[in-house]
Amino acid sequence: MRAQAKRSEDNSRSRPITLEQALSALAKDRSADGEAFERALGESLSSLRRELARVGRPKARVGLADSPTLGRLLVALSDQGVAMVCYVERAGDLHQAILRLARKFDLFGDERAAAAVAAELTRYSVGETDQLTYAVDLSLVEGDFSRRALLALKTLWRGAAVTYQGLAAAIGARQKARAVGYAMNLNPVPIFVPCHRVLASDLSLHGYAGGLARKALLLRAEGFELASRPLKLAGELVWANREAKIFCRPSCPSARRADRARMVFFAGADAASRAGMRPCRICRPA
Amino acid sequence: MLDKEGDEAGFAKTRQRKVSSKQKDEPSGAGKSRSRASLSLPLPFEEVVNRHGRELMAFLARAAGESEAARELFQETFLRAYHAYPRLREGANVRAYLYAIASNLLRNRARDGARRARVIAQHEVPASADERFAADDDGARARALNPAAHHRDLTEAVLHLRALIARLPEKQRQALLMRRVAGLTYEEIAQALGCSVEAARAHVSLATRKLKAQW
Repeated sequence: MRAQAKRSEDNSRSRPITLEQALSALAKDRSADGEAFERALGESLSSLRRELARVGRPKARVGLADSPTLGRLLVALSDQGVAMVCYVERAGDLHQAILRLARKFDLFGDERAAAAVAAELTRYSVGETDQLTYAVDLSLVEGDFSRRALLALKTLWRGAAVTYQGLAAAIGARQKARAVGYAMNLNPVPIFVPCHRVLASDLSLHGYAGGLARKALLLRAEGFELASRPLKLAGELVWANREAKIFCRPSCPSARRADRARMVFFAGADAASRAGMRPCRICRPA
Repeated sequence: MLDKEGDEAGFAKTRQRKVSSKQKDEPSGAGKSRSRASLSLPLPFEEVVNRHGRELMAFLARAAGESEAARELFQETFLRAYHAYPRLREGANVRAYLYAIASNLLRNRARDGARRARVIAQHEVPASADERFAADDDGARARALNPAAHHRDLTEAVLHLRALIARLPEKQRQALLMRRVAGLTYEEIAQALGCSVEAARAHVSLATRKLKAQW
């Protein structure tokens, strides 16, 4: 091609230029406006990148990690925090999770970041640590109701549990326990947003996207005792009124009379005290 | 978005957590993972731009015939592709998709251009030879050149070729440029033009034959 370019400056050619040669030259940019092309390309790329930065999706780092206690997890982190923790069980789970992520984020692979999150969750799931240090990004939550339910749930203390109806009541929608259930199922960041602490009215575990075994594991790590058949909370539970901030034994007459939708259930008196509840003067649970 | 604690609807007023999403320096590609599992992520869109930007611009510059239109089409193609990107099927050919968008935009422009030209032609004052030469337009430039020179000088040959390409029917022009300038496979061309692979081959070979006849 360089030889041909030199020849092009020499107007007295021996052989005429063929269509094929012209096509090759066209493809390789040796035409008269080569420089203009580079300039146009450079400017167009800058302009495009600016526009993409303006309207674009935020970035998220995504990776698969294997937790010895929680199994295979797909983890995604954005600049705002953990955006997704997905239990990968069936073949379709991974695909669905990535589709969900790709709608809101530009995805980049980062196994290390995912592994770090998984490691923290693993430690948490066996009670080695009671702190989760990551912030949470709820971009993947669709719908105002779900968002409100999950945000409220995020403030529920470790060591506490609530019913679907109780959570619904907490966001001023006490008739919508079922909708709360759906919202829990679609929680993109389980454990960080503790949907494992939401139970049926009889304090049985009811359901969990990651399976009841994982839900039980997490509740035990947080200090709860569980009965087996049916799978439900057991042991020295303590009932607290989330508004009055008083906790009672389940046998307390005051507790029995109270509105269950205002109840929060603690694993014990210590857990209740740590959450800032004070003991009932009638039944003296401490 | 960061959740704000201290809501009325909640279980407690808590202090706002600091954002400690531990940011690593540079994300490692999925290919560098040590995990046994293989995670296939769609390519980050900026990588799509890096891989196909130059080639698409080359295509558009030749297909649209003038650089201002090419720039606009470049932006429009990539922005549309970006918005539709999450909906792209897993394993879909991104390049073919990109050219499908470009092809569509080019066709719309040609159709609108024809309509505009019919309107303008009624009012147009004929441009001088200098004005035509200065115009950033393949057809105009070619008309101003010495017709026989394209056999002797490569620069003129390419300009002549561009003028001939500008006169091809839309699909043939696009197919030829996709093949020869952008280097698409016939499968990709077929996807981009919304036709069969055989039809794609036919478009390219018909275009080449026409050019040969006029060379």
